[in-house]
Amino acid sequence: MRIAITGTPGVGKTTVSKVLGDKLGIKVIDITEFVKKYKLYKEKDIDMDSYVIDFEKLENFIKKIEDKEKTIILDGHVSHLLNPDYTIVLRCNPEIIKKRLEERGYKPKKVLENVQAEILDVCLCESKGKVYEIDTTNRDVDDIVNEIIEAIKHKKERKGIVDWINQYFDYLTLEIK
Amino acid sequence: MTEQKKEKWGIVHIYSSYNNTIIHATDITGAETIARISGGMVTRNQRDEGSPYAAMQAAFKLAEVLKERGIYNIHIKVRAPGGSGQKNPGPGAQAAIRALARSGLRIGRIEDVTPIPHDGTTPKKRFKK
Ligand SMILES: Nc1ncnc2c1ncn2[C@@H]1O[C@H](COP(=O)(O)OP(=O)(O)O)[C@@H](O)[C@H]1O
Ligand SMILES: [Mg+2]
Repeated sequence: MRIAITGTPGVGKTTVSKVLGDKLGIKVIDITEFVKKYKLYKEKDIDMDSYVIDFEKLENFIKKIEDKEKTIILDGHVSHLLNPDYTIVLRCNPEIIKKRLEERGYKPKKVLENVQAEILDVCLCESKGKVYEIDTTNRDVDDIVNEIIEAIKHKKERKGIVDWINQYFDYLTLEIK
Repeated sequence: MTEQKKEKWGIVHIYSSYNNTIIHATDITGAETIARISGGMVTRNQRDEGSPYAAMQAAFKLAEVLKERGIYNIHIKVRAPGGSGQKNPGPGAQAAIRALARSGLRIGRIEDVTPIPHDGTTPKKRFKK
């Protein structure tokens, strides 16, 4: 079984996934880390300062891990695109994400594009199948993880819990250049 | 209609999220707002703000404002997740584009400028300017 923990970069996926994996005793794959480490990309997009993921290579890589593991947690902003059986979409206030990504040292346009992606619900809208969305804003990691465990246990489904498009409209009108 | 009127262009930005659609018309530079209409302004039920029907109503309303201002030509910039990159388009955005086309406006370019989440990795390259 594949459990996807998805959401905009900076939302808290890796932090939450680690605690979740420890509590459940399930292996966690940090997709961003693995794609870079095992060169599962096609090329580097210089403008985005990002490696363009080779989904065929990534899929083969995950399948090999699944030979040994019954259940895995896929931690990454593309994890919902990897045919998961269950998807958790983490959400967080766009201005908190902005601050976290600035602290990470991302260039302004990379910060802005991710902030816009969060405001427009990009990861949520792309998620298919069984989906459970959680707003993590100002919440304790253990608290979030406990909610995720409950959701997985009961295969709960929930979508459309935040609506940021009006409140943060000004960020959307800024051009990414 | 004078020749000058015919040549006046605007940009219509369509922002579509899970729960809502906002249609925003600007001048050709993108700096001056001409009108901004959201799904919430054309439906009474909050649950319907992001529906294709609300997007269509918002687009028709916006088209009227543009025509009153003498703008008959538009370029469209779409920010709609699940849009052209994916199999199923953002439902609000597609409905809005169809409504704009039917309202008698002439449509020039349609650009997909949906933001792509990326850290050190990206699912696809960004739209090129
Ligand atoms: N629930 C939370 N409360 C406070 N800070 C958090 C929380 N979750 C994550 N963070 C912080 O936010 C930053 C980004 O988290 P990270 O897990 O790396 O995000 P992602 O993997 O989604 O990009 C880190 O500095 C982390 O400590
Ligand atoms: Mg991470």
